[in-house]
Amino acid sequence: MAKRILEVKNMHFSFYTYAGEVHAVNGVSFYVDQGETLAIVGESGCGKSVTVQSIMKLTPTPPGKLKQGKIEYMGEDITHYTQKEISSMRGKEMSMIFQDPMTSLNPTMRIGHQIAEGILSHENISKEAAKQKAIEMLIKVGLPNPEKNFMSYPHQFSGGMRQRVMIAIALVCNPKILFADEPTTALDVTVQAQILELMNTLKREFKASVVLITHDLGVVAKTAQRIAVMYAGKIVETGTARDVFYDPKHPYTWGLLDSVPSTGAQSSRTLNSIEGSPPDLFCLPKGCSFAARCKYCMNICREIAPEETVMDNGHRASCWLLDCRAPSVPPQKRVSRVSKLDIKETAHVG
Amino acid sequence: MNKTTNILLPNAFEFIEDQNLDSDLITRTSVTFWTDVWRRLLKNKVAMLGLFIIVIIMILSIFVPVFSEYTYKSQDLANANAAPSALHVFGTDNLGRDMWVRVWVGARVSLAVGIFGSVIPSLIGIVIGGISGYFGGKLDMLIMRSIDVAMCVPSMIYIILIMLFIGSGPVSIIIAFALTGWMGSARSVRGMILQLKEMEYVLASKALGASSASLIFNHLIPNTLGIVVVSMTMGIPSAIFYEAYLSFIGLGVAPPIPSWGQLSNAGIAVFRVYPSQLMIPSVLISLTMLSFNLFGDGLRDALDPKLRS
Amino acid sequence: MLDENLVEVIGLKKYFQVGKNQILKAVDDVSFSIKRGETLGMVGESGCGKTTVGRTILGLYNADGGTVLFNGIEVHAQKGKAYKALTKQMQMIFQDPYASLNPRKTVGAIVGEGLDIHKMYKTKEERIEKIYNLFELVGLNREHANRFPHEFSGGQRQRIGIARALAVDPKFIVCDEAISALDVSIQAQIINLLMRLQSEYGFTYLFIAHDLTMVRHISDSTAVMYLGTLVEMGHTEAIFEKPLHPYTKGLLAAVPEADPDYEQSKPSPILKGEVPSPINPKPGCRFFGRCNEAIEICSRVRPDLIAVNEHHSVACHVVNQTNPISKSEA
Repeated sequence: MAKRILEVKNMHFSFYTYAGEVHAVNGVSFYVDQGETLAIVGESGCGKSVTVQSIMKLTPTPPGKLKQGKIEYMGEDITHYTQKEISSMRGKEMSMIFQDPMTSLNPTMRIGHQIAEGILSHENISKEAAKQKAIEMLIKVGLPNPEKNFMSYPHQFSGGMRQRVMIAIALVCNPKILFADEPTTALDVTVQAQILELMNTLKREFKASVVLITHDLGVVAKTAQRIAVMYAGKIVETGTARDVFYDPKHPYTWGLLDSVPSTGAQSSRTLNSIEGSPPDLFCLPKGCSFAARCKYCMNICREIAPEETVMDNGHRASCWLLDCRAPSVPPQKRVSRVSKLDIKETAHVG
Repeated sequence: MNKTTNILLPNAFEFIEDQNLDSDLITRTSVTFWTDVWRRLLKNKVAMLGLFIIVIIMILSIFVPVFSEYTYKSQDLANANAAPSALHVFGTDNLGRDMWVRVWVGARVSLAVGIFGSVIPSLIGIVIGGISGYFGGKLDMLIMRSIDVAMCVPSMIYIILIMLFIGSGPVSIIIAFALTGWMGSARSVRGMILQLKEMEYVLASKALGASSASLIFNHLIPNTLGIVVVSMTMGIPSAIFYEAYLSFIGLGVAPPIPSWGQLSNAGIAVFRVYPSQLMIPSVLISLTMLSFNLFGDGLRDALDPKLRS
Repeated sequence: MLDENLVEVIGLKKYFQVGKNQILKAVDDVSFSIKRGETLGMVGESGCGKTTVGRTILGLYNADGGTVLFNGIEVHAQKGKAYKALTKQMQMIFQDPYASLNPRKTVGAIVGEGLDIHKMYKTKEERIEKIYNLFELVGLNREHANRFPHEFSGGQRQRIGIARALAVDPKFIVCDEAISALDVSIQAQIINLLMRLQSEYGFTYLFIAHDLTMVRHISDSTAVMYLGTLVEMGHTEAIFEKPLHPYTKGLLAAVPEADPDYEQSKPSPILKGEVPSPINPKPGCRFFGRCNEAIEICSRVRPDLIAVNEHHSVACHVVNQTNPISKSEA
């Protein structure tokens, strides 16, 4: 079994604003094993970024506050680490890349120095050696002409190149876990494809685990081994990528997958969207947070929040439909394009 | 868990048939922009202290002269240079005039000059800056370069020249401030308009066929107001200070009308013997300026969009 | 009189002066037309000029060349009242649901602005009633009218933006990245709403987006832009099923699908590099630097958009030299 790198247990995180308490994360548990990519999928405001930022203690407290929960890194409880302790881990043990590479790079500092800075703060090596390492890193992230790029400033780079630099900074000290918060959302599709490819390659090379935060199911499908679907501060479904995509159990996951128009002919003109809007995190409804938008809402969903149901292969979902007393609904299985081709072309593949 | 099973209704696991999707329901109460700002402000104790002092000073300046048995020019020569007492709360000056009344009449002049001397130039600045920023091109160039040139000379010199030309008095001071103070605010409003002009809601209004005037007055200026209000509030103490300074050097308000600067000027002559005559007006000047600055700071924080969620 | 095409764009050019001798050719000689009641999808990466095309068609920008005919009327020749009358027929839905609504106005006032500008009511009651009807049309509660934009979610705001555009009874609506800033489930809502409105009121859309799957779903025809030029245009199915231009092929291949087995077995992305700067472009095909099928002529001569068949045209020397049909099937 792969080594467990990070485990989060029952995390609750709130922001205390002048207008009241914002329940950003309400009982989130997940783990990340070595070398795997976990994708946290959800819509804006579902708490996915807050979850990750509070692990690295990047959310300002106050107004934020970790109310409950336990964070374990390599078996060590880091829940109550001080800023100083956690900042010595940042970059070396865990690092993060953000959506907007322009605002996360220092505009007045040369690219190379920004990479070398990270090395120097964690490793006891000479400036010259750090520079050499930074240049190697620039080559690894696919930036040609590293000597010249070392001396460049961020504004001279395009969005895709800046994100490559961010990846270089994040990985240069060989962290065990990389948090990527919407790393390709600000990029064009063709550049996105390149960056995702790069992340996949480097993940293997550095033997790092990746926690990818995104709202784009295509990006998830391309990179993730396991998926956690978040809604209103809770993980509603989690499992392997294949389980979640091809045999989803939670109506919210069904809705998400149905919202993407299927490729192929314009079969149905109306998309199966999820009606309504996500709940206000100031005052969460009682019962299941998704009840108001759910096509299969039962009386109980309005009253009591569902417990997590564990199925085989670590596939879990929190929904009353999975209760034995609930009426059965047709399973929402989906088929891969690849398997369709397989069935047609090579009959012997089961 | 027992509790939950106890309250389960028999139809707990039935689908809700006519689920009218109330997920679009907005559960938060409606708050206008300015109520929101006010709520934030209420939480800021320092800013509220500033506002409290300002209000107290205003109330005193309005009512003390009305209800006092003395007027600012009635003399009681027998009691000249009296120390503060029950009869004369702040004592009297060298002509036996009651300082308590004179200080609060002076507050009227100082506050009026401060407020109008800051608000009027800001309003002029909004209009000119708004026009300059919105229309851009040559007009913008002309206005901005003229401001650049005009701002090379310190505004105090203009003010002194204007005061010499149109004579002294509170109204003259306000006019002088209005003629010189608009340039700074025109510049900052222009900058904001240039940014706002590219906002999609301005384009949307343009696409709906809105006229330039409607764009400027309905969309652009209201969105600069927050920052303008802060700069107005912060401008009041400096206007009060300028007035005090002008009156102190004898260019501002002419006797017998008192203003804080003018009272300080009179007090300095007798400072060694009767220090209270200088201390009282100067402490009030400082206190008022501090209060406006604290309040302005709080207002800026309350208006800062970065803090809004 | 009634032409089949509602919007006709002929040789449209829009340049921006960015420096002393630097010209940003945002839109450089673009021609297309949109049939009544149909949707033209316009795709391309950032900086390809698709947003500028939309804004120039509506007359929000002046054109530096070419003409835009709306219902036979030359848009850029209209000034003052005539232009105002035109704005009543052509509307726009914007990208950013946060920046496109004035934060200081109630959403009722925002939706009612068009009614006020074009004096579309006789009494106050009629105005309010119209605003309420628009709210219901886009699936919002009439009680919401007195609230402020920041109280709404992104999808709700976008519906308010749609209601504002619909207030003046337009015929043609430019949807400028109208769903890009929204969450997946909300995107589907907005697409459904736009399509329902089209079938009920017969609107004509120019649907500008970088999300290819949604464009495929909503559009009758699709135009692909690259650096200010149209590289390929035709029936949506033709573009997506048999793309001819190397850029279109690369773009389609780069879109990740919600299908892990398929995605993780897919080969590496075809297109390398990024979109170059549109400032002072070189002669020849704009795609020359990134194209791996380029031939000698591509660096010198800009290819014209040539019809491959009735429903499909492409601007590529390679495609137009060889037999395009057999190539795409190979």
